[in-house]
Amino acid sequence: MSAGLAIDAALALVLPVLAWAVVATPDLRKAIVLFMALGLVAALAWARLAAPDIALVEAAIGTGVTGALLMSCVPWAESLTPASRRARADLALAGALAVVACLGWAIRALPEAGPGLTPAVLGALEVSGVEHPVTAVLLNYRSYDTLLEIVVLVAAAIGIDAVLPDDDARRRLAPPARSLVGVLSHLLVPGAVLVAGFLVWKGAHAPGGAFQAGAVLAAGGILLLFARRLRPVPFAARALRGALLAGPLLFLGVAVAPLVRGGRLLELPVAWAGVLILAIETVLVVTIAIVLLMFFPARVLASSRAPAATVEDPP
Amino acid sequence: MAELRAAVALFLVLTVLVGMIRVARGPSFADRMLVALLMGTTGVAVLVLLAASPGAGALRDVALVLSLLASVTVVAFARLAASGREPAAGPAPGHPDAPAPAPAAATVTVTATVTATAAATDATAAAGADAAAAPEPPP
Amino acid sequence: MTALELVAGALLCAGAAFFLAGTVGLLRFPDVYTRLHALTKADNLGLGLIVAGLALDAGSVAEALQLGIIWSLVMVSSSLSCQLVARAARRAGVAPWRRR
Repeated sequence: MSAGLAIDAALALVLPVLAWAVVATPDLRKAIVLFMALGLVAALAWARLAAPDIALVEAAIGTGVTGALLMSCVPWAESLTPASRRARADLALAGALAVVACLGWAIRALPEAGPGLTPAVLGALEVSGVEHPVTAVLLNYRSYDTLLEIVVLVAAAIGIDAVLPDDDARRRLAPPARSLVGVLSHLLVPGAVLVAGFLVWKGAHAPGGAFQAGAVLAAGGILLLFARRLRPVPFAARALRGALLAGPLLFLGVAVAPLVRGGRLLELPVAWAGVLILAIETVLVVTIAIVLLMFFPARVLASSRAPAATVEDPP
Repeated sequence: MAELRAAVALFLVLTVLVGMIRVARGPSFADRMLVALLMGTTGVAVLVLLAASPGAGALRDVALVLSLLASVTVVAFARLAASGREPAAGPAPGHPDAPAPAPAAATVTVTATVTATAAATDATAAAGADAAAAPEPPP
Repeated sequence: MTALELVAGALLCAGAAFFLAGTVGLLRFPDVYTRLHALTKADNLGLGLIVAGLALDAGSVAEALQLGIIWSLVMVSSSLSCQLVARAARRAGVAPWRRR
């Protein structure tokens, strides 16, 4: 048995066991670490399945942003009464089963194994404006999917503001202090911005793209928020709303423009497709990063007094 | 060379899986967080090894993203550990429908190994961030 | 097998040995501080050796450079993460281990 096959076997054995352990562990903090382990093993599995696009998303969101999000929910979750927690768990279980049932039905409805749409996707690659088939599907052939996803994300941002309104939480935030987290953000945030740009640019011809870049940029923003170098912006701020809507509005504009000239919705002119896709993706990165940062509103950040570790000042 | 890379990658995957025993054993949240550190570094190593195979170069970008983001969860963990030490009389908890935790509950949520020293350091921590960050003599 | 490949292979194996040491330390050492010590130092060095081995064998300079960037990012983030975890443990009142 070759080593590659043994890696696949190990990952395939561990994935379901880990997934079960995450759900079955009553200790939330233990479950979070297990969940991050699940994210990493899933990223490795996608890597082994030759799906680097998904591995990239899993690495950025599954292990980075989601871990931080779960951590910041722990004080709230641990303050719930056992009965309330059980009721929520039942609801979540019912939801998960419903999703599994829908997915199972969808998989059964798929046509038998065959080349599928691969020849069609590759055949039209020349007129798509990009060289990477995944990007071509996401932002040209089936761009209405992506457009609707972005609208869903903006709806999620509005939902977060409804659940965790800003009220006076911003005033309870500790002032910025010299801290280890600050040092970390100094060193890593420029890298995060660079890598986000790199991923958008690379999306045209290789795995990468707006979602991955947005997650990386958001991770940099989370570091800044935790280091108190970035104050959470209230949802009422015009600049925030403008930046949040820039992505969907540009996308909608590009989608509707062909109708004026008698074309079809979301039809990209071949000569301009590459430039338009790059422009849409660049603006979407900002929208996606802001939506992800909205999950860390002032109320969540203000729930503790000071940064975790302060650099020891000389006496 | 390709076989050696795959063998080393397999070996590293196995060390991560064995290392996860620490999640079960704990005892503290910090001990469990060590597994997250282990997975970050080893995951990057496995990905760069896999990326050296022909046609898999994109996995190096995955390693790059993982190396950049591995610390975000640790930062969130450090904040959570710090907020767990908050006295019950502190500012309101972060969620509208969260009931105010009783003083006893706040102590229970502190990371697993609360020893007698915790009470002593608690007083220091409550005195303010600077006091808590100052080097303390061992008890 | 050329001499360069031999060196690269040796570096990969040495890197794997350091990762093994890190995991053994994580499981065997008595408290969170010693475990941190074993884990972060050994794993960072192990990654450095693996990156060096792969860079020797890399197809292009850009590839080797990217490997170097990845390693330096891991060094920055894991050294600071290590401090954050240790301080969090200390503030949570985890007593350092002492030989009786």
